[in-house]
Amino acid sequence: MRLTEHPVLDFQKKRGRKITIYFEGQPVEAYEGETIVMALHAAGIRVLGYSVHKHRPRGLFCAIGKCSSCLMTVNGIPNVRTCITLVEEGMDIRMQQEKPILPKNAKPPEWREAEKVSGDIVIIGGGPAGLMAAINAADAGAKVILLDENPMLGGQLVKQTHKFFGKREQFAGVRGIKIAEILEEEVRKRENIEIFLETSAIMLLQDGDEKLVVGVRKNKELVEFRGKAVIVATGAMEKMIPFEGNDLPGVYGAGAIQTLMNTYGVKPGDRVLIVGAGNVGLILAYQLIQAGVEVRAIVEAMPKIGGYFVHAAKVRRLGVPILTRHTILRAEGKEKVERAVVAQIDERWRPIPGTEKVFDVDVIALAVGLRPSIELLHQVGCQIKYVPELGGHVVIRDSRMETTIRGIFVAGDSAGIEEATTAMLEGKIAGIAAALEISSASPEWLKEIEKAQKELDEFRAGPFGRKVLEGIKKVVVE
Amino acid sequence: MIKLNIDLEKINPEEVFICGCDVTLKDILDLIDQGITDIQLIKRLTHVGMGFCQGRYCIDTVARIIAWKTGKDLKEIKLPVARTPIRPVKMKVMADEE
Repeated sequence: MRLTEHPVLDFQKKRGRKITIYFEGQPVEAYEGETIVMALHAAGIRVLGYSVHKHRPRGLFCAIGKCSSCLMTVNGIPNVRTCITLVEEGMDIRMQQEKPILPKNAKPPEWREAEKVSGDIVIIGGGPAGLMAAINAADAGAKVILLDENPMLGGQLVKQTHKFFGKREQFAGVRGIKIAEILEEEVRKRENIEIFLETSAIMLLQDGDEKLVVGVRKNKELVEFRGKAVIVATGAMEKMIPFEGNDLPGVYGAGAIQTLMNTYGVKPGDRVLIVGAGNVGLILAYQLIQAGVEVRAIVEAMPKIGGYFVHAAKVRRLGVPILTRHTILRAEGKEKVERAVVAQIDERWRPIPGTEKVFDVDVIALAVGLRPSIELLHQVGCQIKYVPELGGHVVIRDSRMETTIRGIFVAGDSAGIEEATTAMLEGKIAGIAAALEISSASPEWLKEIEKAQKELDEFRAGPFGRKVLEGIKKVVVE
Repeated sequence: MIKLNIDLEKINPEEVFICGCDVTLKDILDLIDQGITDIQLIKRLTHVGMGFCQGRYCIDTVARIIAWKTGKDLKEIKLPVARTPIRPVKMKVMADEE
């Protein structure tokens, strides 16, 4: 179901031209500018295919092109990530049931040189960190190449309908979706930033003094990006937790639900159980209610609510119970989620028999944390370290966001899980530091780095920054 | 200490999925019971981390399960090698055929 009325967003204005796509031969209404999976979901299609070995139904999970739950055959091409592929008139979408068969008499392809694009700094990721890095590096005189695998810029800001905290220069009081628009406008008006959307970075290599980023555009075209420095701002991935039936369609990452309802105006379901009472879980509950979805409960394994008290109070006032010291035991349903069974847990985190509760829900939202996306940095050989305060494995870096490999920088959630505000500040630091290192920036820019570092310190000085600061101590080396 | 709220006696680990490509909790636990606690080896034996997500969805969970079962600190658990391409790409694209 599509949302027509929303207190914050106007989807009627946002939706493109109405077109028709075909799911298993049946016509489905879609709008230009939305991804395949969003159009299918709006038409009530939750099962996107079946797994190869056990033929389990598969549905959306991350919605940002990182997991593998949304693979479908599109216009005859198997294994297309339908969550980041835009709809086109007349598209033929098919479910996958088994491993696609390789054509027996196919000839080996002929080798052809890839397209080459050169710049000073290559930035991977067009979210808050990448956009700020691009703006600042460009202003400091560098020729910037910016790539992102999604069809739109803004990263996860495009789904954040809430207003930001912090200081005025850090967009306090402005909604995330608006910040995405402002940053995109800034990036687009700079002539020395070249943007590549729907382009995945698949390798990061050192080639003499140069850095080489191999990209794939729209799944079909190889592009070589060369620069003197690289900034990796690849964000994060939703964490998964083990419970029975956790692969059923209808078990979504919290971010996927936000993408559905806040970016594309598609109702994720009718009744939702949220797992995790951190800020994401609490804000998600509020946003679901705004979109007219019923939130049955929030379960939280910790004895206390993790998120801001104001958010928790607001959600409770709206009648949503928050069950602390509770966990999800299993998801039940035939082809998709129909019920969730939760139970209380003891001090040793073991479910207490007899405390089971059943919720009739069609969506289970996992808001159990994020993990930095460090694959490219790990692959190129940057030193990594496990730091629980920052969400998992992160790369070792200095206070200017440079990793253990000269000329490779990191920023945003891929440097450790925090907030969009800190991602923007880290992006600014990384962008300027990279420009300084390749000598395109004048030394006055050093002051701007110091200013951003001070703002970061101030932002992290709050109660929620304490944990992050502990983590930062473990990874920042000079 | 790693806390995973699982009571192994009450659940069916074959119904708990670690990876989108059909690797279950049982597959992982069986290997750990045999003394295999290295993710690189678990990857080769179960294909966890070798699918379309290239470990984004599953490796972190595998690491937490190993830590939970063995009592090791997550710091001691090594990630499997990250190889190029970091996500699957058709050979045709790699050769850049027109």
